[in-house]
Order: sequence, then structure tokens, then C-alpha cells
Amino acid sequence: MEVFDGLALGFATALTITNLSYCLLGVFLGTAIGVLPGLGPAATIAILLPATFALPPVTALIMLAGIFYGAQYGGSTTAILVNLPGETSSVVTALDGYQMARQGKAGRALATAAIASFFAGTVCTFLIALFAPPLTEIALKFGPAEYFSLMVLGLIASIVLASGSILHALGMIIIGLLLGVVGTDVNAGTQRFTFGFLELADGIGFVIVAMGIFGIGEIVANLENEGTRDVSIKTVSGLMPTREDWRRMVAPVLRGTALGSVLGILPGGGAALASFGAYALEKKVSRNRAELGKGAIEGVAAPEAANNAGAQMSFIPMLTLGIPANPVMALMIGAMIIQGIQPGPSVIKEQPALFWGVIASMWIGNIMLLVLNLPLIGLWVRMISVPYHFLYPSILAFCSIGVLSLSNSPFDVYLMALFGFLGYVFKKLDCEPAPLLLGFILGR
Amino acid sequence: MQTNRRALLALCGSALASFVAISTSPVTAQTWPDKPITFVNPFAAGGGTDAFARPLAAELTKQLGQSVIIDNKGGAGGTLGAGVAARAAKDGYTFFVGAVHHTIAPSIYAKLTYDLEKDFEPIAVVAMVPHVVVVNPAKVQAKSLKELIEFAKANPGKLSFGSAGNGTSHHLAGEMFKALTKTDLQHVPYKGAGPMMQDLLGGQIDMAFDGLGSSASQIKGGKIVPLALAAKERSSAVADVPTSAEAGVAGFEASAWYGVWAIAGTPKEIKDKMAAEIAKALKAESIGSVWAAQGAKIGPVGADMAAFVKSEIENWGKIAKGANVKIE
Repeated sequence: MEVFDGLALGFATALTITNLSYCLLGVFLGTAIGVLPGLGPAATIAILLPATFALPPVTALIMLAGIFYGAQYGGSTTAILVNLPGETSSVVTALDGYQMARQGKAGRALATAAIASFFAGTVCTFLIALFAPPLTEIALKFGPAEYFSLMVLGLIASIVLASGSILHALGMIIIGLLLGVVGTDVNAGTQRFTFGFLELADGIGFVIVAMGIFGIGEIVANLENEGTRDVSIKTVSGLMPTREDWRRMVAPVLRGTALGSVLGILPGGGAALASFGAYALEKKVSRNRAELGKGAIEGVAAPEAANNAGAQMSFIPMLTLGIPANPVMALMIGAMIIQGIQPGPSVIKEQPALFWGVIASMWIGNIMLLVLNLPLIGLWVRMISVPYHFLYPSILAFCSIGVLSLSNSPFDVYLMALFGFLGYVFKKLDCEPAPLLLGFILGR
Repeated sequence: MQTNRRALLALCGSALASFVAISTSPVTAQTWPDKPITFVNPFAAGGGTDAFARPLAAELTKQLGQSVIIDNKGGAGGTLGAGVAARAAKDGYTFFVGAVHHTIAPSIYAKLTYDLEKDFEPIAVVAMVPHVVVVNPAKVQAKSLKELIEFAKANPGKLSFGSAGNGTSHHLAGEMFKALTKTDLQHVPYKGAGPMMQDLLGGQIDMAFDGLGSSASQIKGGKIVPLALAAKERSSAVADVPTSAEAGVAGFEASAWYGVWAIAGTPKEIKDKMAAEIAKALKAESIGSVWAAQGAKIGPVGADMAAFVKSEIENWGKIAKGANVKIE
């Protein structure tokens, strides 16, 4: 079997001491930047790119890949603990994860996120190994008609995301869509709703909207209410999932993994749509759907599995065709070029050790992440017992630094403050932000 | 808990320190550089410019003994960062990494916050990547540029070409081709060259005037077929692809290129020294392999670059005007 020869070669490549250490370094860095709100894998990889000069190509790619999927793990931590999605993909995790944290189940939510991510990562590693070339062909067949259908499906699904009034949800979707079209129109080159600000010509960054509306809005609303402004109102009960949790987690993780794998191979917003899609699916089919939005473990397990599956699968177009599915993949291609390797269809044949080595390292990296993250849960959970007058200013500082790092523009920080205010207003008006964010993604 | 908080503060502090790294001080050309140098790159991290600017910065860092930092200020097709760079201190510690986009911008943007020729002084065009006419063989039967033009003339408006966006060199190279060959091709803009290539491979579009860098590997893989190189000379990256003149469309020449500018008013000694250092860096082995993989060549320097920039602004201006390409 060709695939098993390939995997054997891959593990032989990935299991050297050098490659193992750089894999560990990558996932560790990834976890760290995932936890820090706003700081994304794209900026980190861009900064580290020249440093990869000195490394062999396989080692460099293994480390950079580790940063990318490590960030997907780390991003859920702040989403769950303080309602602050560190990455695009962890917005949905914040919905139920944060509610679980408020009920004193932060440890169980974090463990669920890590386990769901690990499962999805494992499945996808083998999917990539077995089916990467045929899956690429499917992704290429995806034309304008298919994307249109996907967007219509997304719009319909976004209604399901809301647990309150349908009318409010509809309004939020439309506001989200309108925010999404801010910027230069791709077809006509006309600038929409930029009000003369050049900074808006490329549209509003997702992270800015998400951190403003979720994180900052939440902080403002909490400060107003003296009784609940300390997050740790309940004592933390158990760090690990209970037997009941395990039982409830299985089906959502499987569904999330399946959906994330399918959406992940599509270029563009595949991985971001995956977590929203998985949550919407749970709302329709889960036996405990009534609890979703109020701290249900399904609401953490499904989107976390989906976003990790999506992230992993987005390697496929990069590895098989040399086409980037997102900015991070574009940087990985840059890293290969720096090494004198031309990414493209010939990489599998000409550089088998690189192709299979990176795939094998993904699975090893996922194990490392699980081992790294489970013991850290105890530490993270203690973070929310920090009194609010220390916790909130540090969160604000980190958010501002993170947003500033996106394009080194103070304008983005002001924009985040504006969305923070909007987030507070929405909270007062009982409008849920999740449909707005999905509308925003689809509008772009 | 106490230690945690202290660690957090330390982290904040070091992050802040890196933001305030550059302060102004009197310039002496003799001691330059005695602090880190910033290259303002007006595109987002990971864009086309980064593929050249980052290896160059790494090499210059080695040579100068001071860090050369790439400061990505993306937005508005590279014009936002150019405006920021134009107002930077002219003390020889800030340089601007521009591209072909900046010679197109004056003719397609209603107003710009800088003047490329007045606010900056050219140092060197560090890389030039020619555009190449590529078709999806499953959609287009043409085996040569001549056959393609014949087909396009017989079927006006039937063939579609993709671009990396409105007003990009991909787009204007296509408009230039249309004007030179008097054909009618439909333009389909994408958000970048990556998504465009995806659709070209999938057959959603028929052809493209893509940069050789991203096309070379697909050409080798046999997924797309090159018909002509929009350059005066053949490229060693795809040696058997004819030039546009050889294929019968003389004068069809378009490159995506990247250059380094000093901020106008930078001391001459520093500019000269930077020019010499860049020339030396471009000879380094690490740079050579990166450039070769992208099919890139080194372009004009100094006064030659100034003349080149002028002619580019004029040529792109004519094409943009003829095709009525505008961003407003």
C-alpha cells in the first residue's frame, strides 16, 4: 500500500529529535498566541519566516504548521473563560463555553474543547493521508453556483444560532451582512460605506468585530452589575469531564468533525463557517438542544471539533496544489519558496519526505497539544478567580495590543472600542451577537 | 497568583518596548546604522511583497549588523501604507517597499495621500516577475497564442480571464493584451491570486495573465498551459515558453515588480550605502534560490529606476484610461 509506505516515511521523518522539538516549539507558540486575544497565527508566522531560513525545509514547515493548529486549540481558552474569542474559529465556542464557565464548569469545558479538537485532528490527519489528491479534485469542482448555495444555507442556518427572538436574530444578521460589505467591491472596485476612511477600504477585520462585541461589550456590561462582575461567582466543580459529559460529547464531536472536514477543503472562509455550521446542526439534531446557549457541553464539543477539522483540512489545497486556502497557508507557501521548494502538484512526488513528514507531524502535534493543554486547565481556571479590577484592565490591554498587531494601525483599536460599545448596546437590547458575526462572515 | 501577575506585567512591558523601539535622533552617516531600520511594506503579512522583502531584510540584517524590520501596513491596495511611509522621518532609518501597484495607483485612485515620484527617492527594483499567458487546457483548445487570438476574435466575449483584483497588474496586463490584439475577453476579478488560480485549475475561468511565480509550478504539473511570456527575454524557470514577440504580439510586456525607495530627503550617503548593501545582498546565495524559484530577475537601480517608474506610470495610465479602470 502506497499510503502506508508514505506514512511510514512520514513518521520516520517527523520522529527525529530535531523535528519533534520544533513541532513542540510550534504547538507551544501556537497555544500561546491563541490564548492572547487578537494576536493571530498569520502575524506570528510572518515574523518567524526569516528565522526558518536556517532550518531544513521539513523542520520549518512542521514548526509553522504547529503554530497554526496550536492557535486553534489556544483560541478557545479565552473564549470559554472570559467570553473573548482569541481566533475567528472560537467565536462559537464562546456561546456555551462561557456559560459553562459562569456555572463553575470552566475546567470541564476546556477539557471538552481539547478532547474534541484532538479527536478531529486525528481523524483529519488520516483523511489527508488517504484522500488528499481526490479531495483536491472535489474542491476544484466547487464553482460560483455551489458557493452561492453554501451562502444561502449559511444565512438560513444563522437564524438557528439565536436562542431568543427570531426578529432580533433577523435584524442582527442584516446588520452583520451590512458590516460585511464595508470595503472595496471586488467586481466594480467601488468603495462601500467607507466614509472616506482609507482604513476601511479593505473591509473590517473579523477579529476586531468579534473582540469588540463579545469581549469588550461583555466587560462593560459586567462592570455595570456589581453582583456579577467577578466572573468566578461559583466555585469550580471538577476539571475533567464526568461520565455523563463523555456520553453527551460523542455524537456532537463526530458530527462536528464530519462537517469541518467537508468545509475545510474549500478555500476562503471554510474553517470559520465550520464552527458556525456545527453549532447550527446541533441546534437542529441534538437531544439536548434546549440547553444550547445556556451552557451545554454539545455547544463546545461540536464547534471545537469542527474548527480543528477545518483548520487541518485547509492544508490539503496547499500541500497538493500549492494554493493557499487562507493567509496562513500563503505564508507556509512563502516558507517553502524561501527554502527553494516550489510548492505545487509536484511536491508529493519530488519531496515525499516533506509531504508525508508534515502530515505525520500533525498527528504527533495533536498529541502534544492534548498533553500540553490538559494539565494547563487547572492553571487557566484559576485565571478567572483574579479579581475583576486586575483581570479586566489586563484583558483590555491585551486586546488592544493584539488588534494593533493586525496591521499596526491605531484606527483598528478605535474601531474595536466602537464595536465594544455596540456590543454593550446589543446586550441591553437583548440582541444576540452570534447571528451578526455569521452574517458578517457571509457578507464579506 | 502574585507571580502570575508579575509575569503578565513583564509581558506587557516587553511588548510595549518593542513598539517604541524607534525614536528620532540626529543622523550621522558615518555611524549609520546604529539602530534598527524599518522597511514599511504596504501590504498585509504574507502578500507577494513579503516573499521578496523578508528574505532581503534577513540578508541585510546579516550584512549591516542591525535588524531590518518589516513593518506591514496593509490596506487599500498598498496606498494606505505608502501614505504612512511618505510622512516617516527622513533620517535613513525608514525605507519604503513598493511595487508595480504604486505605479498603477495614480491612474485608478481618485486621490492619494502621497506622490510616488516626489515623496520617495528610488533605490532599487529588487525583483521583477513577468506575467505569463496561461490557459486551462480542458476549457481552451488553443495550442499557441495565435490560435488563442483567432478563437477570441471568432468568439468575442466568450473567453474569461481571472485577475487578483480590480486594478492589479494581472488585470491591467489583460487589458493591455485586449488592446494590443483587439480581442474581447471578459474580466473576472478575485480577492488575490490564490483564489484565482483555484478557479483557473477548476475551469471556472478559461485563462489568466498570471505572475510567473505562482504559475510556474502549475505549468510544470501540467494543469495549465502557458502560451507566452509577457517579457523581452525567455525565463529559465520556463525555458520553452516563447516571449510575446516570438508568439506574435510584440510589445506585450508586463511584470509584477517590487522595489525599495528611500523617504525623500534622506541623506545621500545613507542612500548610497543602502543601495550598495542591497546590491550585495541580492548576490547572496540564499536570495538567488528564492528569486529563481519565483522566476524573478533583478531590475533597474537608482536613476534608471526613476526613469522606469516614470514610464510605468505613463504606460499603466494609458491602459487604465483606455479600459476605464477606476477605484473610487
